Amino acid sequence: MEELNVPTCEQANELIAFLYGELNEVESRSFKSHMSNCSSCSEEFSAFGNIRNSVVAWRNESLGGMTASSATLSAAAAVTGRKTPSALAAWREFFRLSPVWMKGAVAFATLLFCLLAGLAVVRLRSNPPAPLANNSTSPNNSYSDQQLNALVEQRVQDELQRIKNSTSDSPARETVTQRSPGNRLVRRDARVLEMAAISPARRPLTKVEREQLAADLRLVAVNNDSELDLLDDRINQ
Amino acid sequence: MQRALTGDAEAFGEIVTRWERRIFALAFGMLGREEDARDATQETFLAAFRNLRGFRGDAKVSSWLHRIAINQCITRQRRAKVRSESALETEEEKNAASFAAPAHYSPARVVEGIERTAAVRRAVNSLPIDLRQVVVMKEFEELTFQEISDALDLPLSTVKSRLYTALRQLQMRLQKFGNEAA
Repeated sequence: MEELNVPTCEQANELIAFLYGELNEVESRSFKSHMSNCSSCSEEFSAFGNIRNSVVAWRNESLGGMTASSATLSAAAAVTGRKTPSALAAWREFFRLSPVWMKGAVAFATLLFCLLAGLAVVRLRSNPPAPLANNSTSPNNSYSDQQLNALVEQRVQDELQRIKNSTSDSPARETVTQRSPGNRLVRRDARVLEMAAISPARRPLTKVEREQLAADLRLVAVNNDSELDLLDDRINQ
Repeated sequence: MQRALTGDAEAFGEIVTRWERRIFALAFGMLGREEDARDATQETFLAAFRNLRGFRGDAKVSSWLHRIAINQCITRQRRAKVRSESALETEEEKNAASFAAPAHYSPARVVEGIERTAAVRRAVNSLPIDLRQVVVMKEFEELTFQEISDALDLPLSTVKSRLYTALRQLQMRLQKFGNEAA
């Protein structure tokens, strides 16, 4: 077997390079001229060519119809562990491969996040946020008792102010109406004046007025019912 | 590769996709069986992933992966030899006989082709590992001499002389097969 390691020609390396087409044009021409004069190189070139054909035939038979995808998928799956690694596995792998400073930074960031989240929870529990009382467009507002009382109080004050204003406007209107022409207005405003005069201290009804009121309310019998101006009759008509 | 070095599994997946075919071909040439080659390919990429930090930035990815793959194949062959050499041989024969041949071949040519393929397989598998890996890298992976030189960290002349020696040994072994067949 030892003699097999000894080349039969000193240009054995050129023979191999020529066999595999890795000589440039000049070198190829040179080796071809050498091979035409060297029987051992010529014989070996032919024999090695046959061996190459046999090896290539074996390779093509073995790998020709074989797709690499099977090996790829299995190799990739083997590397990553599984096709879709779990979050825990991914974190574990990340920490295993990360440098120390990155591990420290991630740990610090996680700690800081937890601390801030805890503070936020504590603050929310101790001081709940006020409801949006100013949002008057929403019909479903909920008010606290204090706010409700304040709103009611304000509304009452507004109403009182409005009433006060309306009563204070009356003399002005009186003067205007006294000056305005037309019997109807004068008559109506005279009643208003009468009412305004009565209103501060209500005077008791006279006997005639009481009887008229009782008759209107049908509390006393009327001599002739047909004389009554019934509202129902007018409606029915 | 830089992303893979930082632990990015996706980036390493791209490396696997790019190189697995060559590594599989190398493993198949070295081991001679599809199952073994697939396992060796897996183990190669697993070992590469585990040893990402051992990758030198100045080296080529291909060279690095080839070295790992060849080591995996050698380890695997040693284990197989320890288990049962004869069992492996029987399996090889079985696989060789199962190769599909073109239908237009005559039965005599089919048998001759199968026998020839089995003989080539046996001859390649019986080469010393340093010669076999050069043959496989050249014939199965179709690498240039320079690429083999880079991958194995050997001088160019050594690669050529190893291939020359490997071809002479194969020639001798196949002649013996021819004589036996005759």
